[in-house]
Amino acid sequence: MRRFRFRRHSLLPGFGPALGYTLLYLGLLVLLPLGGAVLKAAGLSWADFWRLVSGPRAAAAFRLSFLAAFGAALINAVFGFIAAWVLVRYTFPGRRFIDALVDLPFALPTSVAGIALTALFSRNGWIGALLEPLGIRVAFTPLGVLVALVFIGLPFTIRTVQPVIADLDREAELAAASLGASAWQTFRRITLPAVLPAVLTGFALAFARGIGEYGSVIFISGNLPLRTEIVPLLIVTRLEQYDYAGATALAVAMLALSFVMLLTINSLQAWSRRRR
Amino acid sequence: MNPFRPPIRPVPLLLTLVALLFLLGFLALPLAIVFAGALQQGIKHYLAAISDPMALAAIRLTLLAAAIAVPLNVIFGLAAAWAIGKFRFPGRQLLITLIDLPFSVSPVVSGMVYILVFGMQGWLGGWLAARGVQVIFAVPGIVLATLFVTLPLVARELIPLMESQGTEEEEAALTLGASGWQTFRRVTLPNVRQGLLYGVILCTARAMGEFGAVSVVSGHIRGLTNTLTLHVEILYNEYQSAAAFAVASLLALLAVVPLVVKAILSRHEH
Amino acid sequence: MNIEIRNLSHAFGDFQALKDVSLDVHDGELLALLGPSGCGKTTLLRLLAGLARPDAGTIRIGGVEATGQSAQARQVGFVFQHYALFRHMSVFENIAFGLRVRRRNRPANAEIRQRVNALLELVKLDGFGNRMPSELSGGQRQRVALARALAVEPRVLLLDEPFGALDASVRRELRRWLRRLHDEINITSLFVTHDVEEAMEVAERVVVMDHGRIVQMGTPEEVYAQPATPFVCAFLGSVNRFPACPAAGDGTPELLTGPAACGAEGTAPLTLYARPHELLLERGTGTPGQTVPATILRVQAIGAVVHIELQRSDNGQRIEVELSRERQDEQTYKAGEAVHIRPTRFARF
Repeated sequence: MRRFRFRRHSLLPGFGPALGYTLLYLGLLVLLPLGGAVLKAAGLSWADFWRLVSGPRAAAAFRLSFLAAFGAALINAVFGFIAAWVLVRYTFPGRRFIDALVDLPFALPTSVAGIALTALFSRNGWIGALLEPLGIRVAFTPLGVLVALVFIGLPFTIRTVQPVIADLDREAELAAASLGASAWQTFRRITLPAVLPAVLTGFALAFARGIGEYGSVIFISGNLPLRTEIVPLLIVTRLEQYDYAGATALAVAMLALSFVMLLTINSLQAWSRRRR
Repeated sequence: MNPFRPPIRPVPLLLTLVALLFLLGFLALPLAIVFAGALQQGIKHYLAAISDPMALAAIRLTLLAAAIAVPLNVIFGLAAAWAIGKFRFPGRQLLITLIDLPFSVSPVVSGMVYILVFGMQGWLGGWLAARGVQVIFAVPGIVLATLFVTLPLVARELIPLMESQGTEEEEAALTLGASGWQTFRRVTLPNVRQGLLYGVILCTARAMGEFGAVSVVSGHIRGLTNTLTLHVEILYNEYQSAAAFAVASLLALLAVVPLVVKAILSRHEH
Repeated sequence: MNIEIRNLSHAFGDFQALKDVSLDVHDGELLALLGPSGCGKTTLLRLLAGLARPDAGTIRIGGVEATGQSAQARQVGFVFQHYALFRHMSVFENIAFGLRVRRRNRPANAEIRQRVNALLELVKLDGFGNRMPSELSGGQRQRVALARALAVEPRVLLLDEPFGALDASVRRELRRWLRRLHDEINITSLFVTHDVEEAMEVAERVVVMDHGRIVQMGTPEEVYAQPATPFVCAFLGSVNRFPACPAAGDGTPELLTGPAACGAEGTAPLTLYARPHELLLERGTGTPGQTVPATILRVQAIGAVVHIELQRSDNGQRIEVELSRERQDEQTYKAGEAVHIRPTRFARF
């Protein structure tokens, strides 16, 4: 009831100073530097910009970053949904522990994650040794990039989908079942449509994070130009070579991508809220 | 406990197994291997690695960056949450999006924008260098990069909390004669203390654990501009794997703190 | 402390919540602002408390200009609909809050304790001081909110739907208690409600509001007996409408039956509003112009009042009638019977 009541203009004190400080801090720390970078790139001609972001090395890096981020987000959407479902609907020993652990990729420094994943998936690592006889190599291959991005993106789907599953109307499922729907039909026609916006939001969040990820990837990928080099690493390489124009062009392309993802995510979230 | 335990059905069992395999494989194993790697050459080696002067210098710098970034971002978070959570104004949604911006920018890009502003080729770099101030490849750059990447954390915890609590308690305090500051300190702040605590912990963990952005602005000068996460990288690249994992284990412990606190807080809620 | 409200207006964006409202609240009065949700009554209360600023108009409290005063300076007690207790403070600290935040003349701790305990006693919550708000029932929270508002010795007391969130039985009890409390402490009080029974039972004077305007004020008896508009009439309780023609002079209007129009050309028909207990049933042929024919659909004889539902034979309209038990025992009306309805009292618009 209360949610739909008209929100009154609040007469609480302190709005001006609080908003002013917020804008000042945000402006100085975020908007000014970001704007500066964009202006810097604006110094480049369109042809130069295009050459810098579409050269063979840059193109290969974009392709890898894109595909790996997409693949990892997809894997996380599927398995993250299953995991969220299991964590909400079923009880089993250790559930709380595992639920707490889901946030680990948010909290673990990415360089730590990077060396841990590398050790795990290297040829004599705990998992790598199991995959080696199957002819599957993860570390220092594009597959390694994928694995790192799955780790980094793992919490996003789970944490966006979990509350939606918890809020699902169990009675709607029971009603569907009482109307003769099979378990699968109930899932496909009742549950999935309700959860889908959240899954897509989680997918987009994981994808956006994966595109820009640096620390966890650079250890496991091997960083071979044209093969396992991701865009953020290429930016760092250009910076280290004092190729500021090249780095700026790539960074601005990434910023534009982030912005598009941000808009996508915002509208997905708005859609998700409406559906709930 | 439940005497009417439902029969084990195949689908839930299968789903649970898949989920557990996925979660444990991707979460528990990496965490475990950090500690296994740290202790691979014994406890003595471990202690030596984390008490090495370079490691200690890295710890000091990491703590310094966090000690500056966390309070500043707490003040920002409180101000932003007060303005956004308790008031309605045009552009409010846009402001929330802007606060989230550092999360959607690649850490490498976040570090780089500061190079473009404060670096020798940058807008302010030359002017600052002429006055003997170095930002990039120095401590101020590391602090700035840390501030940038941790900026949203406290605000994000507090905005939804303050919004959900509405304004009635504050209005009640005002009608009882409390000043604006008294209202904030005695009514608003205690009501959001759990969220604030969690935000501070998250912010601290992230401030001490940031790698990409800091890496770009640090210049990797050992003993001077090396934070813990950068130290891990250097050791690892020098094939000092056990030492790298030893330092990494400190960071991993740090990362586990917010997880534990969150689990405790959520248990309190139920 | 009296309140003078002059030409108060307030808008939220395009929505005009309050339009040119003027009202005098007398010293020591207990007044109800009654109206449907969205009528502006809560807005008026918030303007009085200083929780919103009027777009136009003035407020004077105790003869002193208060329009631009902040909520802190106004010394107005406000009891919120959902209590707005400080959830992290004990009952005692909630009540003590207004005394503790005082800059000037802050009472000593011993005095605070004494005053809070006296208030706890006043609201019948002695011994509850150490409880947290979450450990109290709705009615208890309500009383804590009241004690908290009274602790600062406000000049006037404003209550927003004070019983709105309570169960029916608790509500009834608290209503009487509030009435007695007001007699005891005699503070000028305004409360907002959408519940007619509540306003009528508790208030000394009722102000009926609709669409941001005051449509009527008076004692409960006056308002009920002489509603100023059809809206007030219908809002105060169930009512039956009868189309009729005005009679010459001051005579009784003639009830219209069937498709008939008013005799004299150009005479506009009017509507009579009669409450269920203002109608009588008659057997026989009826009196054209004074009765209308109807069929009894249902007789519900429970308790002291008998409810009879009828349908008019001429236009199909449903009519509700209430008879005393004695009269029903005497007449034994039954469903299916054809009768005539005679309004004995009515309001005309």
